[in-house]
Amino acid sequence: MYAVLFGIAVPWYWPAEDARMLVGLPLWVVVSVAGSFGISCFTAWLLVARWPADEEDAA
Amino acid sequence: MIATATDTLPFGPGALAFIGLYLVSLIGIGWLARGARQENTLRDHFLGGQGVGFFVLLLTLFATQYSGNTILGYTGKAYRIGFAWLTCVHFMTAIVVTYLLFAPKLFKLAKQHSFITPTDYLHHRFNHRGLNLLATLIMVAGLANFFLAQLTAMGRVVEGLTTLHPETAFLWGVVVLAGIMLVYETMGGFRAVAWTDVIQGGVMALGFAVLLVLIFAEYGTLAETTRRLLQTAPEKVLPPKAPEVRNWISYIFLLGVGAALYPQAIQRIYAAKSAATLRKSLAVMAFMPLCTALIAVLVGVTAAAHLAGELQGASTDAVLGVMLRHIQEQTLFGHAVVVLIFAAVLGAIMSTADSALLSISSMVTKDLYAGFVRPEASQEALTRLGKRVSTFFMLTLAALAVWLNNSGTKLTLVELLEMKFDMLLQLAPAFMIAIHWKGMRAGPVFAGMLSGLVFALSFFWVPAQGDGCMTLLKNSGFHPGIYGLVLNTLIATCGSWVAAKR
Repeated sequence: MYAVLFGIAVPWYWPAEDARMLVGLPLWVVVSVAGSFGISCFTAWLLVARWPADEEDAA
Repeated sequence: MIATATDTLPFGPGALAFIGLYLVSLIGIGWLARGARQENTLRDHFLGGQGVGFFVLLLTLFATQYSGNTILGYTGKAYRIGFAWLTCVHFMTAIVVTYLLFAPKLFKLAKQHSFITPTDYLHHRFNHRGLNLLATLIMVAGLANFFLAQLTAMGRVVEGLTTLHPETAFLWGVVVLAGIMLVYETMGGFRAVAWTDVIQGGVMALGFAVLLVLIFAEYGTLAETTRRLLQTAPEKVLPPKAPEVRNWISYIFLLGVGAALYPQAIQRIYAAKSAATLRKSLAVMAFMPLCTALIAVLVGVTAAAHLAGELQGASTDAVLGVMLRHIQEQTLFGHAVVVLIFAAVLGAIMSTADSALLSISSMVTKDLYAGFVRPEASQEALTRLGKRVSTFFMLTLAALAVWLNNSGTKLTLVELLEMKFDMLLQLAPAFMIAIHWKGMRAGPVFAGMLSGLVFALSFFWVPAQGDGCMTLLKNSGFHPGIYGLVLNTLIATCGSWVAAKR
């Protein structure tokens, strides 16, 4: 999952001269930020819902 | 000469009184934290005793991770290279992702064995004196570098607050702010640092939000900024090319892993009151890059579009001060808000610096002095020594910051930031692999760490021009620490595997 999300967030696949814009920003910037938001959501979900139960008990 | 806002953003008596009151309140918190001390022990002084709850942990994590670099250094870098500095949002997010790899197990071990410093974990896991010494020296050297960057940032911010000569203002900024920090930290230890982080983190979060609104109001919409930059400096708007993409990946890995290994961040894992407290705080931290680093990039890009060519080299770190001067001149409201943003900048710098200083002090006292010189020293004696160590490092590094500034050796904040990660990254196998793989042996981990460190640092002497193998690696877009870590991991894992087969 992280490979896909970081793959979207890192702008390796954009043509060098792509100057398209969306909401006032370069399109590649909007997509990269969206990828970062996806990483944040997935990470938060893992932390809240998938934290190992035995480590929880240690507290 | 640094083109700070020295001659452009002098605050009046009211503004200086507000900032003075803010700084004095930090000393007051240090005094309160001293009163809350439960016992005169290392654990109480360096970790605040039984641990901190969700709200304090979140804000101390936030205030510690987001520093003067985030506000000053990141706006300066975005001013220099444009939207390509968006990579900072990703590496700040990657730090929280990296915690997933080791924080749950490390937290459990820390609670079971009462760890105080990161080296306590290494001692528990490997019981290898050479490894303890090497890892502690790496962490102390890395943090001293980081602390120096924060002191430099303090001086530069104060240059923008007064009408004094830049070098005089820098000197006073470092002396006064470092002095205040030392007073509250010596009085209240970790509690004082964490409690002041609550104020500093709160002011910083408010400052970032206000900053974005102000910049739009002063310089127009993002669409106008992007179009203007596309015409004047298209390379700052267009997608990064292949070498820059490699640099992105390198940054995400270097800082994502390296900053997760900050000793002061590891100590905040130890300091969490419970696993629930820790995981909730980290979950919120996962979104902070979008509320902070992204704003810094947008501010820097706006400056690149509207203040092109006004600043050069290290002085670009002062671009925020120049923008705030423009805002300050418009209205009384703008003036008041600029004062708030400067308080946020000071908070960001001081909250990071105090955490780094406390962490250095804990490692020198517990891992070096008690570990190698006087293992029989009492808790009271060690706590007393810890305060003296803080004072020693504060005085030495403050003098170095002032000397570097006056001697004309001006490194940008991002340059100072990167240097330490090449070192800290070499701790990764010992923390992130060994905590899961019981077969990992102390000898190969030590050999790997030492080899990776030497290899990474050797790039400093490799010429930037030429066709040698090392020069090619240096110019590849990846940071030297990454190459060091590859070598380090190979030695640590293969060596452990071979040792297990014998």
